[in-house]
Amino acid sequence: MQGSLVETDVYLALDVGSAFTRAFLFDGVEGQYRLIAVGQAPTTAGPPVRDALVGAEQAIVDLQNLAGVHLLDEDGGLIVPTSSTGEGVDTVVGTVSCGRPLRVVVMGVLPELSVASARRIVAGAYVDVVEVFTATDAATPEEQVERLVEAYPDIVILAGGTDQGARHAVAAHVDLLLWAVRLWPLVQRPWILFAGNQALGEAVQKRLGAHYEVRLAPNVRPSITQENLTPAREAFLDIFRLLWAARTPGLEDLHLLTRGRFTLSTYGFARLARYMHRLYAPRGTMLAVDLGAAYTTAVWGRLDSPRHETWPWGLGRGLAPWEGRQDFIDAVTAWAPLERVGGKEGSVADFVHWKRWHPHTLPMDEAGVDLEETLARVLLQQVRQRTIGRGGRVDFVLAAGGVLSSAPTPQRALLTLLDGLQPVGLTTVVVDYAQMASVLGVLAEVNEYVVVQVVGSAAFTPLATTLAPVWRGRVAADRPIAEVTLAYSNGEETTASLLPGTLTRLPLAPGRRAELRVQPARGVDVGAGPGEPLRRDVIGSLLGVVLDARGRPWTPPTTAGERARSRTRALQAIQIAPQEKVA
Amino acid sequence: MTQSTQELTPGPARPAVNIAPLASVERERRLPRPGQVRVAEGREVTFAEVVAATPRKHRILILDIARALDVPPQKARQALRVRAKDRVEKGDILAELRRGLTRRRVVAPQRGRVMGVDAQARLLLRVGIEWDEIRAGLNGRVARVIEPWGVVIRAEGSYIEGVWGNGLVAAGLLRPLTSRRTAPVDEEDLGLEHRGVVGVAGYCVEPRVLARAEDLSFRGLIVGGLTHACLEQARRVSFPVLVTDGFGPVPMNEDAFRLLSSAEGRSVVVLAEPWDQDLGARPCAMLDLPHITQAERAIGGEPLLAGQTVRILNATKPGQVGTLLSSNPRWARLANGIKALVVDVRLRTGQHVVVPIVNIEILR
Repeated sequence: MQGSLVETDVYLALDVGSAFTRAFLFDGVEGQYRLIAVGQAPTTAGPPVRDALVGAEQAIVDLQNLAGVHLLDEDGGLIVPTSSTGEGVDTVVGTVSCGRPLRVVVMGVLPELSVASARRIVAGAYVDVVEVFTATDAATPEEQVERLVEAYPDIVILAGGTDQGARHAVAAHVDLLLWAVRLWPLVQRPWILFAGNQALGEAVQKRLGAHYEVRLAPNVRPSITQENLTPAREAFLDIFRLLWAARTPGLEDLHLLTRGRFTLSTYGFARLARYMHRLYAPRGTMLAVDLGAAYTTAVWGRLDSPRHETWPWGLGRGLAPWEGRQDFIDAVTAWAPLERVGGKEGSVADFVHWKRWHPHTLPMDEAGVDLEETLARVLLQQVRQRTIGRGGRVDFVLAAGGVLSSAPTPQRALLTLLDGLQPVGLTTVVVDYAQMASVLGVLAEVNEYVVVQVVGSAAFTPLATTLAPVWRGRVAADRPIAEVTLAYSNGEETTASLLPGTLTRLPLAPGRRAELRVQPARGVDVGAGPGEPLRRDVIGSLLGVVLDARGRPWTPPTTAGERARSRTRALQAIQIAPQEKVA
Repeated sequence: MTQSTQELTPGPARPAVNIAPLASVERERRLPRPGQVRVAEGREVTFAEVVAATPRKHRILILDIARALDVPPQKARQALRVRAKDRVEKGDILAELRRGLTRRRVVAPQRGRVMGVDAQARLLLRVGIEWDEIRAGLNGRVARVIEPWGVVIRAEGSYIEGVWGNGLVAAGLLRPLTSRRTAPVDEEDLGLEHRGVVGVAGYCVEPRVLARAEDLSFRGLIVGGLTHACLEQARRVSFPVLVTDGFGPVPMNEDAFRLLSSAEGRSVVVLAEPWDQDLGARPCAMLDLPHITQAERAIGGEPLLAGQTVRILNATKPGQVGTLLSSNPRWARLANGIKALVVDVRLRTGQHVVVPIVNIEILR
């Protein structure tokens, strides 16, 4: 741990997203670090401004106005460190997710060993793996050269061979790169990251160094049973930063402003997700999702074997891969609670194109919110398919992204998550309301106290604990599938008979604890096995315990009118009663 | 109350959409990857002229000279009769070796270009190449060359920017198809008199309209809105389709419709390439003018100022245009519960609305 609360440093964290740039101020309040305020401005990396620093400055100005503090001096420069009068900040950190994904080619010996490890180096980063070459590639040398040249990669990861192991396959891939160099113009040549058989490092550098920028890293597979990803991942990230900074005006300045404490949002998010996993479900499974405008990031699995992926699709510009796909349009239409948009001739599909070409816009009415949430549901279903799968149990969900954090009500955010991810069993759901997960992940490297205390604050109040039973076959609509009791620490109890097809909410305010006892009907699984009772301690949250007895997989009604009514009923079922709010 | 634009502090920069009767435009024409620029600075170009190109596909052959001659690589390299970058015809000698009274030869199996020979005396012959080309897109002059990426074209005329294009470029004579900007174009509106024109209509909801336009050899179609049902058809037709305002039954904005419908018979270039949000280059239409006097510079963005005409980007209520009442945004909660940084706008209907600044586009 590098810092402590005794120092009471003031931290500024900048997050440059593809749609918005946010500035977060963290400071000590009564002995605890807290998020003081968040400033926001449209990201300016693209036209008309073309300088990411301008958007960051506007976000800081917005933050100044909201927090009532001086962070910038008269010349507009950031005051670092804090002055004796309390102006400015001590440390600046940043994350970025604006920019096009880099094209990566992976070369290795065996798909399940070096290639898999090389893929794991880039997992989670904003990349598109456009080609893979292995020693077992059946293509002719000509075909391989053509494939490599036409892939137009930004980075080639050359792996393969355990240390002192395979040489021939690596040499063949070096040959391939030497052929390609004769066909690519100079400015088109990719960076080469060699992370294979260390005995070949010098030779690879010698043969390729005259034509390419080559970076050597320790072998990702020093032996068949060993995997060593960290050094190669750091080398990859260095190259990534250089390439992104060259393409995105202003990023280099932000790198300097943060003195290098500037990384990809996806890495910051993954780091915080792992921290929260330890906090909420150390022995269980997690699914953390960040649904951004251009990218979607997921971190999932068990604490000892987490997976991390980032896909180049999201709720704005990231709709580009989907807008031409009829199956996607059909799915959005099948989930939308309205049939017509913008007049009698408009369709829900028109909205998909709209959102893709106007990613910065906010919904201005109820229908717009309904449609954005519908898109989020369908994209979350894609995340579910790629992570926990259908009927996947998950103990903890961390959700981030504007559509969830800025949802008009917590009920709407929860319903979007339940419909999209369809978690099974008992799940604690936390939403990153302030959209600061990625910057907290970076702050963790500077001062872990900030993260511990901010995560424990109201900014990360859990949204709900959900219980979703599953069963096989049909169940009678009027016969309860489970009897649920929530026993509070003061001796009081709330009970509910869970009818299939319903949503029910049992209040449990933030900060309180209770014991949840569930007695399922025969064949119904509430997380302990079919027909087995469940007894768990649960923590309080904004919505308490939400019992989702709609079954899995849950599909919406077939007509838009019925879908709208179903959504309204569901939202009403998990509504917070006025007397609770007062309490 | 209308406020003078000069008296107020400008607000944050927002994208500007240019709809100008007389504009000077600088348009960057950029390759997807580095390549060759084929025109020089200062040259006059027409919209269809190729200004830069980069290889997309290579077809290659790797010829093992040592194996073909049955000699070690070093000796095979000495036998080479060609060098890198040489062009060869089918049957040309690539390598030749005298052995006693006989000669061993390796000849080019196809026409191509020698790209190099490696240490093992393997020769790389490129026998085919396909190019990605970019055209000037507008009638104008090459203002700058950006090696090795492309050029900047400067053009002048009436200029209208849109939000979507089907990727094609063409030119023709303008012909309004609907009399109102709020009217959809019907298949029946298109007769033989529309053969070979660039049609202008309020919006389009029927894919059959596009099929009919194709039958009539349209040179282009400019509409305010296009529905999802028409988008696929628009991607298939052979003429450029430019959408000025949005997706769905969205009427064309008043300024664009007035400009286009009053220019019947004038020549127009429709550059319907997709909106490049990284470059800020929107699909557009440019009407040639016989005499240019003083053109206004078209730009991609400018600060918000009270009094500006703005378009409200709202998917569920498209096509609204109004006047900005204040340039200083404030935080407010919208009726749907979302908290946003907003400004006040008076619609042309007189209604006062609160709009998130991210939903504002300045109409120039």
